[in-house]
Amino acid sequence: MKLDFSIVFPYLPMFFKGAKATIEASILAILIGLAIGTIVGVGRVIPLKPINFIAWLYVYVIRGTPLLVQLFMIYFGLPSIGVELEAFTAGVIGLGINSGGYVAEIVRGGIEAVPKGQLEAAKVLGLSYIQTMWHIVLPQAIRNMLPALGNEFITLVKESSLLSTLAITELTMVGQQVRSVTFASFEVFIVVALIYLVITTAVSTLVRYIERKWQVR
Amino acid sequence: MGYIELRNVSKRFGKVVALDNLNLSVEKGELLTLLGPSGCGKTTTLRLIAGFMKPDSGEIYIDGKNALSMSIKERKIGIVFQNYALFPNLSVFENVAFGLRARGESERKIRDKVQQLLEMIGIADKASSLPSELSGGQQQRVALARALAIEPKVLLLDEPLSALDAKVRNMLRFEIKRIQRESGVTTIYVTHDQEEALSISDRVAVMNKGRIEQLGAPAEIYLNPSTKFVADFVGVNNFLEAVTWNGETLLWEGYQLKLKTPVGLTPNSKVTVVIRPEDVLLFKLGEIPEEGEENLFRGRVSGKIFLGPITRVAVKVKEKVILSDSISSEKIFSLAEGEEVMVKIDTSKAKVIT
Repeated sequence: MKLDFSIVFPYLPMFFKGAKATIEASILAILIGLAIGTIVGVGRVIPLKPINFIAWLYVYVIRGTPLLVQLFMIYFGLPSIGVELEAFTAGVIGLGINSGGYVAEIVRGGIEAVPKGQLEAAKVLGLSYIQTMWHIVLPQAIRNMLPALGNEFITLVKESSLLSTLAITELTMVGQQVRSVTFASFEVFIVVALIYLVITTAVSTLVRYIERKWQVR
Repeated sequence: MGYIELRNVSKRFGKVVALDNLNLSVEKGELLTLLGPSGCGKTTTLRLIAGFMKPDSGEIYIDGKNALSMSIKERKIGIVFQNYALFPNLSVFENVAFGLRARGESERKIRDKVQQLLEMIGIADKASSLPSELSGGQQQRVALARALAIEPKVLLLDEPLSALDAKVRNMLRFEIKRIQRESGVTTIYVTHDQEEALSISDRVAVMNKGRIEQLGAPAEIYLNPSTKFVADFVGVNNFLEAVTWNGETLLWEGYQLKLKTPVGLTPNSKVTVVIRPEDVLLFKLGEIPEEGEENLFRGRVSGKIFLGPITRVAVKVKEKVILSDSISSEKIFSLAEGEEVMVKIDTSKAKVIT
């Protein structure tokens, strides 16, 4: 058997449209995930027991259930209580909420990696908890977090392929559509895979660039 | 009332008693060291004074005020940790300036004060460096300057030299002492290193199991340990378990041990004679007449450690090992394991603990 990529070429514009949707959904979900993750992650370390518990519960539930089920709950489940979301919106929110659970753990780890002595030193020097967080802990924590965040972003890009199950025409969905008319399954998904690879490579290159910029020593 | 005063302070961690009814009074301007093995409660004491935790019971006063009703900030404390705990994202200057900024001092005052401190610790030329660009010793100097910048009422030093190598440690020891003298700040120094404690302190509190075993000037602690634990901790390594025969003679392993100063104990009481290795004299056979000499025992060499200027020889007298330190010499080097020797215990230097 020979692979014949020429069958796929006429559909390249469709692939690029799908890739665009994947990138858009990923960027939006990353932003949502970062926002939720920062709040929940900080919620896990601040000295307030009830907040710690809520943050812990969030991470526990999100990490303990499949992303696909979470997406179905948001897209198919919410309408039954009167919340109807467009597929793309539901998908982005679902991905973001899910990523938030993982980012929260990264944020927590980043904060806890800052030696405790520094917090105590800041305390005796007269800083409040929030000032200490802002001036001392977070600048270091962000640097600690970057490599893990890079991984999380790449994972998120790949997991965005699940959005195809919500009938969103992102990259994987486009692949299925093109396959159904060309029947060139292998060629189609090789192209799809290569495009994902380009996107994830771009993400990891960007993260490494930021890491280097932040690396003072 | 002392400048810092702890009254009946207790602290438990679960079932472990960290501090057991501790009483401590630190005079204004003095450098007091808490000396003891890990787990003795010395760091807990420090952390209670700093306000990082609260005692289960008891009271703490700083400068006459109840510290337990004060926030950490209000206590005005400077603290230096073993691992420096400098802020790695800030320059040396900003590290030292940190407390002053937090207290809203003017830019001008901050500049002058930081400059003065950096000069005092001898690294004014590193002001714009990051902590990671400094050596361990330099980092610890910066930590000291940072702690002193807010002109604290109390300076707490938690094993500040333990992470440094021996040479830097010895140098910085005197440095800390000088800076403490110059600034006149009341200081509590925590260490497990007896040599460090004895060389730096105005007074030393030897701690064990959450209590203070002995509190006194370094020389007093060294020359006159009041308990076996203290004696052991400050380097008196020979413990002879004996019983009293009469007021001035003890029985040890069937030998008579004559004391220079009699102990007022009834015969047949159990005592421990503590004596430093340097006060146990070593002779080769025939070097000293065996007749008519007091406290002279025959034994066999069971080991030898070369410690530079001195050599420590372990001598087995009957089944008990006695350590003897001598100035390193050809005579000492020539001793062979198993060789018969004579040891003389200088009981004028010995201390009898009941």
